[in-house]
Amino acid sequence: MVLINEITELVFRAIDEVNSLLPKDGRIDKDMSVIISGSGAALDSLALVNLVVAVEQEIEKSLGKSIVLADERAMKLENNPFRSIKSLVDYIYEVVR
Amino acid sequence: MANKIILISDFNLSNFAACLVNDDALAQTEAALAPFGQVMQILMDSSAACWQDKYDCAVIWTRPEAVVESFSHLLMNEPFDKQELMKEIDAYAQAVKAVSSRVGTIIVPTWVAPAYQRSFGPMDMKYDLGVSNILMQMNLRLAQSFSGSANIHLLNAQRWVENSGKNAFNPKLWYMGKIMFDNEVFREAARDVEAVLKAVAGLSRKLIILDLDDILWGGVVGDLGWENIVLGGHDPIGEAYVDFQKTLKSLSNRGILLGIVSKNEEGIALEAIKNHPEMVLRRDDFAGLRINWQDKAKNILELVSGLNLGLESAVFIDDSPLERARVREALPQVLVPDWPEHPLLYKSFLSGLRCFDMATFTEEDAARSKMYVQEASRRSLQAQVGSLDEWIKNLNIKVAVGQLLENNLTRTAQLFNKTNQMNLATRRLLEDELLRWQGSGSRKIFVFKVSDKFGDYGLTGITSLQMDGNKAEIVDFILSCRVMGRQVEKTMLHVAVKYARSLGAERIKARYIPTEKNKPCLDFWKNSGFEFDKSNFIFSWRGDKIYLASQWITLEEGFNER
Repeated sequence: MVLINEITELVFRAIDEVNSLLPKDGRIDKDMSVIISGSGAALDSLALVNLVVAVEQEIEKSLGKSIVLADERAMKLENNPFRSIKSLVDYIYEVVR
Repeated sequence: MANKIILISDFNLSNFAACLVNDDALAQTEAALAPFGQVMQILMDSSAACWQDKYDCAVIWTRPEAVVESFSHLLMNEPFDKQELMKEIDAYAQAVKAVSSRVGTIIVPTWVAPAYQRSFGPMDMKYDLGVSNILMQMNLRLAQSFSGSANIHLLNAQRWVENSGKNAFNPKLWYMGKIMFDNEVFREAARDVEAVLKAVAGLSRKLIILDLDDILWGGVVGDLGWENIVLGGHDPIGEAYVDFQKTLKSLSNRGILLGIVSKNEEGIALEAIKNHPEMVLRRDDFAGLRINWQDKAKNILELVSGLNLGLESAVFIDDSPLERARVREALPQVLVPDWPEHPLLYKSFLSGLRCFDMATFTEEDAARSKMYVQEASRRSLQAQVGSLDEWIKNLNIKVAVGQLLENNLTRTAQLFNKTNQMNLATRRLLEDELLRWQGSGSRKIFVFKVSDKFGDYGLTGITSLQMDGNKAEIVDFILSCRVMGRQVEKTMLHVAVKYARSLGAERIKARYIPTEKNKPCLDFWKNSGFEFDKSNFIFSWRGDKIYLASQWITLEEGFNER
């Protein structure tokens, strides 16, 4: 059984990866409330792509599951799973559990 | 000062730019992205907007199918014409070469194909049929096209891909962001680009200083005796030490000097080096050694200055974290890698260091280690004969002066870009820039080859002059540290003054431009006999006076003009 804490940790590791590509003043906090897409987002579209791919790689590494997060189903969901770190963590939990 | 790099590609290099700019371990870099997907237009159009800024370096990174149309036919298993394919590569190479007039250094990663692209499967490597085989031929053609261009560096992207593992090509990044590679590939590439720029700037390391026990062999020779140290034999660790020594030897063969700083009894250590049958490195492979019980930092300082090198040229290898920490603290300019604990990893770790990367390779580089060993013989003579004049007289030094020509251009550019201590203006000029400089106005570049009874130093000195009416200026005065302090400097000045006088110069001036490293040059000029204007660092000589060459040196003029 995958714990939500485990998923939070792997998302935070993916944030480390994305931050390594960002200028020091553009790096995002490892905080559930950070908005990552849409209005007021802390990441631009390229950084979001990098985050999604980094999260997928972390899931494969940590949980041994190969998944595609940014698929059509996710895009059609009423509540955008890529809106914030929290919504992303919750969405991954739903997908992998 | 930050490296300014322009990135030209047919895929998204934003992540690569981020790796170049944001990695704290790399030198400060500014990276600009040229409009994406317009490679040929940008290469061929020098008036394109992206060329308004001045860059030190251009990285031109393409997918083969994007610039060589015939290759895209091959990928579709459609008929393709190999001759046409080669013509397209030549056209691309020509466009890359055209960028030479806009930037000093051009970096072109080789073309690579994703591992999942299997072409004809088992026939992927079949000559003139499989995609991988054709791609190898295409890269070879590129390498041939660039072989005469010293400022174009074709880098092996396959190595970046291999080091990055199975995610090197990530289809998700491609479809979501037109990003060809995973960030690990870009990080590897960024490190190699930095290594090229450092090498071009003459910042490569030139000397490896080695500990002995548990570095060149296993065990403490003072306790075990040379017969019992771990080296070679049918033993994985013994074999690993031999392989590590072979890697050091191969570096030495390409001009990297080796030295020893070890806490040991000198006699016992030298006995091991001389007698152990599986030693790859012998006494003559080491340009200098300090084997005693003194502080290693002090020993390193003495060894490096004895070789006329700067500390920033040196790398120190020691298995003891304590000794490494001591040297790091006392001599921060020396590179002290965190050495792996296990000898089985020594060879791969050393081979992976980028600090010895070279931008060019000349005969002088190949002979450098031998030259330093000869230098030790010279110093031994100095100790025997006493006075400096006597020593120089006994060396039978010969200086041959000639012109800057195509056949010595690479070495001349290398000296321009690597020499720090005896360097009047520390101008850094690449091959094309040197030719352009000499070709405009009344300018002349002299090159000097030096030899003595112990051996040949090769091309080690440069003097450049420019005339302005009846005034002459010595713009560059460069001498390799290998021949400093033996009156070659005086002979070079003699040649420069004689030439200026022959053109009617009434005054010959030289402006010293201080840097952190060229004080030895100032010291020489202060004692040169030239008048010195301290307020603006200008030295001058009256044109009606002869400047005498060293009486102990035989001067041969026009060695490459006959």
